[in-house]
Amino acid sequence: MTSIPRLGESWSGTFWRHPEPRRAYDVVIVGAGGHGLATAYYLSARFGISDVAVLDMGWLGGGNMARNTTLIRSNYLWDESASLFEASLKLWEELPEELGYPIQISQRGVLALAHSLHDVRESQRRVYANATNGIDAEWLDPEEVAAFCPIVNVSASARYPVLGGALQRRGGIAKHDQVAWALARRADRAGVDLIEHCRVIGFEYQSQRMTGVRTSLGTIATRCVVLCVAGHTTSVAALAGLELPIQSYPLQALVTELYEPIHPCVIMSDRVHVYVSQAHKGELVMGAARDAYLSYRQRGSFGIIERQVTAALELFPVFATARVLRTWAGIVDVSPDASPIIGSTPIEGLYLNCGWGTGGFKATPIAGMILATLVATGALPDLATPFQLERFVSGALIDEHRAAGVAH
Amino acid sequence: MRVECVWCGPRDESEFRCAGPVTEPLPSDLDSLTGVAWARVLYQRANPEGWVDERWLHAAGCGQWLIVTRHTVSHEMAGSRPARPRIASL
Repeated sequence: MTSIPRLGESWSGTFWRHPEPRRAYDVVIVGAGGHGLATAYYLSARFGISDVAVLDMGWLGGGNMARNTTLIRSNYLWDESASLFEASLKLWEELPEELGYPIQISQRGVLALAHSLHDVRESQRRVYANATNGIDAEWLDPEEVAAFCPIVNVSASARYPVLGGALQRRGGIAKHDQVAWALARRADRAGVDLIEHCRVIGFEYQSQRMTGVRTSLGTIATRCVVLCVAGHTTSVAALAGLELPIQSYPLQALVTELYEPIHPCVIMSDRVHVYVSQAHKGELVMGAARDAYLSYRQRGSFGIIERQVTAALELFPVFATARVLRTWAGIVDVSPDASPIIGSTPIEGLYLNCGWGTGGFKATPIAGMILATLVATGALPDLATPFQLERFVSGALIDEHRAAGVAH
Repeated sequence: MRVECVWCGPRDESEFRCAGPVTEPLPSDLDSLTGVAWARVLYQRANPEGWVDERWLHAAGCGQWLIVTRHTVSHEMAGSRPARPRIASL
């Protein structure tokens, strides 16, 4: 294995090959973002399946994987979501050693502020629910909030008074690009072909059985296709005649110029809707609610940025002189209950992974593990069975829209 | 983005609320719908990479509902019309 260079050293190695696609693979994964790459990685590392191609219409890790705010946490309210995201967080904790590449996981704590009596009750309910599910969660009073994150404005005269906060200490951030590169590098070494700039233009299936994928680089025969295309799920699934309850919206983020370390954790505020952390490099990274209307344009409305920055300045007066360096959006696939859709489809050999909405990054490892298990064994792991498409017919929704108090 | 209000002319998007794509009319045989058909009624909405007809409310303006035809990739607008023709005729 090529060693990774230290800063300042020259390096002639490559992270992954750039092969021409072969005419046939056991498994074709559509989308070389976090979920697609994690699926390829776990297929090869845990199940010894490496006759796999990962196709991407753009470049590897260039979609939502490069556009999220890098948060990882598992403090969801409902049991189904909590066990899913907790399993993901446990995999995150194993990944740095397993991948042998620094993905800069920093479990610095994710603190969700409460600004009203309702917030306090809702947050405390979530803390108790998390604790019941074995997930670390604790309630901080305003003084403890100030001690944990000294730059938060907890004064009584604040526009958004801080009445406390729900803290998950194991939550934090991971360097998204490096996660993609590390997974890609491992999958490539195991023999997986990562094929960039290859657009899927159709599927071939006979009597509801997958036989191949038509792409801009020719037709590839395969019995098994996994869709990990986030915001483009509707269009790609339509190529296989599937209609899905998904809508695509921009989710924006922004970074400021680089500053000295001043922000020790991740602060979320559902009420005023902004979340802020400071990247290892020094930028303040901020995100907010998704945009209000359907769009496939990766930039979003300025009004959202204006509102989130206004809220951030009220919470963190110290940011008053910070300058925005750049803003962008990723296109997120939102399901009716703001929970993911995972599993089989009416077409044998076509597997779905979508609907992660605004929370897909933190699920990168578990999405990969679930899909790899499904492809390799034909069975969906227990923790994923509540998340199948059938729930929209049965009515067994997992309504994280209301539970999280966040506009997904 | 600017949205063309039928009554007020082009206005900044911040004056509006978007209520999503126009939905199909409810099926007339609601009592006999299958679970799959109900799921479709409740949860299936348009999500094209292209032109879509959407309902917009000019909330901070005249308070009227519009149907706006908009391109979801370019954000180009191809015209607005009143959501309820009988109101437009008043």
